[in-house]
Amino acid sequence: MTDDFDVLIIGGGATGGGTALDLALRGLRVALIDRADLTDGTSGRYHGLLHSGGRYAVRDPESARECIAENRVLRKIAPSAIEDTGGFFITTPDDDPAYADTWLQACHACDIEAEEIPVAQALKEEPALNPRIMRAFRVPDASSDSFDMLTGLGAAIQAQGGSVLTYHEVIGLMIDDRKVVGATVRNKRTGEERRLAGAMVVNAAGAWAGQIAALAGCPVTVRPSKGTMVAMAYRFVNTIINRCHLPGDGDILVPVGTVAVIGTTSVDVPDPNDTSIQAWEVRKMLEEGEKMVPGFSQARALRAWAGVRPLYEEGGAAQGRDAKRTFAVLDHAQHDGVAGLVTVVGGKFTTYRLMAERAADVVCRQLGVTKPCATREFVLPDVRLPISAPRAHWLGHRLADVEAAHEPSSLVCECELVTRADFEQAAHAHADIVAPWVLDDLRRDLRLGMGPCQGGFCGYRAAGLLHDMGQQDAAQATAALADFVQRRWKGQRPLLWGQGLRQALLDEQIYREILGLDRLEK
Amino acid sequence: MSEVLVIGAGPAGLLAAWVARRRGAQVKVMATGIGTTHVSPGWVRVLGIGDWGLPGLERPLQETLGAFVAAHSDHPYALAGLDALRGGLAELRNVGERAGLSYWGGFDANYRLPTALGAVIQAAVVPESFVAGDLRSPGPMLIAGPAGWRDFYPQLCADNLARQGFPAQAAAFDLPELHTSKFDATPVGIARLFDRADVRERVAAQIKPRLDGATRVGFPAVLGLERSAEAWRDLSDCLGVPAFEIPTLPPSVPGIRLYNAFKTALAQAGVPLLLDMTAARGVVKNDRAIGIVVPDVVRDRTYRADTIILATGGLYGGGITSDHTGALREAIFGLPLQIPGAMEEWFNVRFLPPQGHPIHSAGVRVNQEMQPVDDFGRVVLENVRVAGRLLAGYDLLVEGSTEGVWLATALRAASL
Repeated sequence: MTDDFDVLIIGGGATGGGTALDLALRGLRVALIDRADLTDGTSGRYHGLLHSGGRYAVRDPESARECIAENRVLRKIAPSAIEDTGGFFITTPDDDPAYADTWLQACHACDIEAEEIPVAQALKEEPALNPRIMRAFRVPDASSDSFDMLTGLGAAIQAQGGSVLTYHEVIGLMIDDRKVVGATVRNKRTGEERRLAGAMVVNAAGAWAGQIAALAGCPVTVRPSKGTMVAMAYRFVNTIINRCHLPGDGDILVPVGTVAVIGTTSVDVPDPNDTSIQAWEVRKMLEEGEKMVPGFSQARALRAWAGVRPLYEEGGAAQGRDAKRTFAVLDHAQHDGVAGLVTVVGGKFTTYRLMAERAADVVCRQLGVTKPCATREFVLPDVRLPISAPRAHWLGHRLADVEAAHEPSSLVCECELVTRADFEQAAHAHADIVAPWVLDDLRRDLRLGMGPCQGGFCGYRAAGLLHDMGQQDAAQATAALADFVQRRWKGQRPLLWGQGLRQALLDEQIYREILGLDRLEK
Repeated sequence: MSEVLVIGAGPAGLLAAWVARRRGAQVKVMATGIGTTHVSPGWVRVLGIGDWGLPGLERPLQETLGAFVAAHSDHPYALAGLDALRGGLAELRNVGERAGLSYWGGFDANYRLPTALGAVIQAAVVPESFVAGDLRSPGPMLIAGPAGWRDFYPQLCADNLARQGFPAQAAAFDLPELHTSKFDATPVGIARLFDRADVRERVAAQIKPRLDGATRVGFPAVLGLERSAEAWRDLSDCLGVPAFEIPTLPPSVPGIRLYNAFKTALAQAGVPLLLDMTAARGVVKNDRAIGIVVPDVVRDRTYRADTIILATGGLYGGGITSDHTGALREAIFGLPLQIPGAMEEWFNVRFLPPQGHPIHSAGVRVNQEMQPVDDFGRVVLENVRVAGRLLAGYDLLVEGSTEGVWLATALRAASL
């Protein structure tokens, strides 16, 4: 084959990453393309719940079945990105008590191992839960880290000879006689444009899939649905908590690392780039959290963010919570008479591998590749830094390592216990260290700046270290710092009251008064 | 003798207590804990000139201040009066001198000092150990810091200065203690090392051969804690060129030096400093504050006073509390607050917007006596005075008025 690549995959989320790996494992030369970093879209902006399927069992059993099947697969193939927290469904005084029986039957019909446990047992395991809950059920939910998952997928793709092109925006599809034959991409930092030839192009752009398909004149109607999440500064629970009712706002609480994330809202948005957060959404999360964990709204809220779900129902008009969470693979040769382009859209993080498999099957059929899908068995590499293994969901693991290192001054980020060695290792591995967004990329690798101070102290240290490493000049390091603290600010701003507000005032004082960052930005 | 109770042990509270005592009152300071001295860079900023649209970049600071006050009649400077600012500075110098901390400068012009990031910041009055960093004088500088220390990056500082036209180079020196187990790697730990002559000699010996024409050497602000004046002088002597300090990440060693100076001065003047005492609420009778209630294990205790000075630090210090519904409350008396709009408007979408965040103007409105007033300008509690960051109507960070406002308002509030 004379093409640069056999297949171009557009979209560096879980679906795109999974599709690229699937195709690479079948021997194809792939390039995974994203306009920003891997997980910059919806995959990196979700709560981290690896669904058991219980949430969808009543109203969307097809999704529920997909979830539980893939839940079992992902536990095997991505153990380093999953923490087996287990999950509870609880009936609170605010929930219809009759729903639980319907729900339990539906779970069993979908092959989900849901079992009722005594309320006393649930409260013993999770003492922070509302003591007035009436019923409790155990399900095989888990907490997953999409940053680690995607870093693992990226590493596996490259190990198979594939390319990962982050910060490359697709600005056009190359079309020859009603066949897509490649894509034009623009390097976001340098502005340089490149034409990448590919025998096939997979559109895995999620909420942006409509925009990509439109470049080939194909209509794909994605309904972007924004969900807002709030990370609280405490890991209130060690088990995922779901309200046992029809899915609604703020009824999932997920322990992730050292924090607990509550989600979500569901708001239809015309523009998938709209990740703005309204004040009512934050208030709603706190009020709903209060029903699961009394005192919730008094605790410190650390950070808010929003992700945009790529809801898709062929020919359907259902929106928001009514829309199914299943997915579709569209072969545009059949749909629109445009060959060489396949869109995979809809679905969930939990079902990404299945979506990838189905999309890859369509691609392989057209390219005459007969090798079967291997991702069901292929274990993703563990990409975590040595210091964070075994999976550190409590800081004590890392603290022991840091203390053993005997060097207090080596701690760059005290909130998340990131050491200088961690930082330098991750920075050396970064593909484009002079990019202004480098610190935000390193954050996804290291959790730098994700703790209570939100970059107040570690931001300056990281910029100083980057500059000391000799690849960024002072102007670049300063610009990287400005970029980082601005991005951290975006997630803090909706949550500024109480202790978080005081922290923000300290951070502002550090950067404005002590360091004068604003003076160098001018 | 009149009894004065000061709530808050930040710079405004400490200065107010000192002034009230000097004027003959019997004074107590009560606070939850130490205040913002420990995060203050150490310099005294009164007003940044040219930073915010006022003409006449090089007009004397005095004149600019006059014009500023004339244009902002609700600003704490206008209410307290510029004489209070001068008086407050005189008292600060007084407290400093007793501890060997000498403050240079005045109201003629601002120093231009390098920050740890290599930006340029203005300050009217600075500790002696900052003076040689003044960028209005042309000498090339060497920026030096301990190798491998996380809180100061000499190369980044020097390179940012250089690209703005200030000749600067960087050098790291070895400080083996930094790499030992259990070392206090905060600025305080390093400052304690610089209290020692042998450490200073070691450092100077490493730096001196690398001066390369530099006429001054900038260090992070860690040159001694207990014996800082000696440390700075001695290090300068050893180097043969003046050393100067550059504030870096908190905790701030210059701020702690000032706090210690206040602590000693207040102790000598017989003013008890009661920390770990959180005033839960005030007691009011017939429009007068009677005292403050402090919860205790056995029973709540009431501390009575003739005058109560609130220097509780506003939102930052905890003097104003806030919750997720956007409700703001003055923590002790529930005093009327000036609030800039709804919660969604408190903060700009930019982290460091040139015009500042509206929330900074939130606080207690006062009259010229620093008495709290309501929306109609009526005094709410006539024997309560307010000083420092709890006050409404100014943005300390954008104006560059942080220390100036606490000097002026603390002096005014304590002038009973």
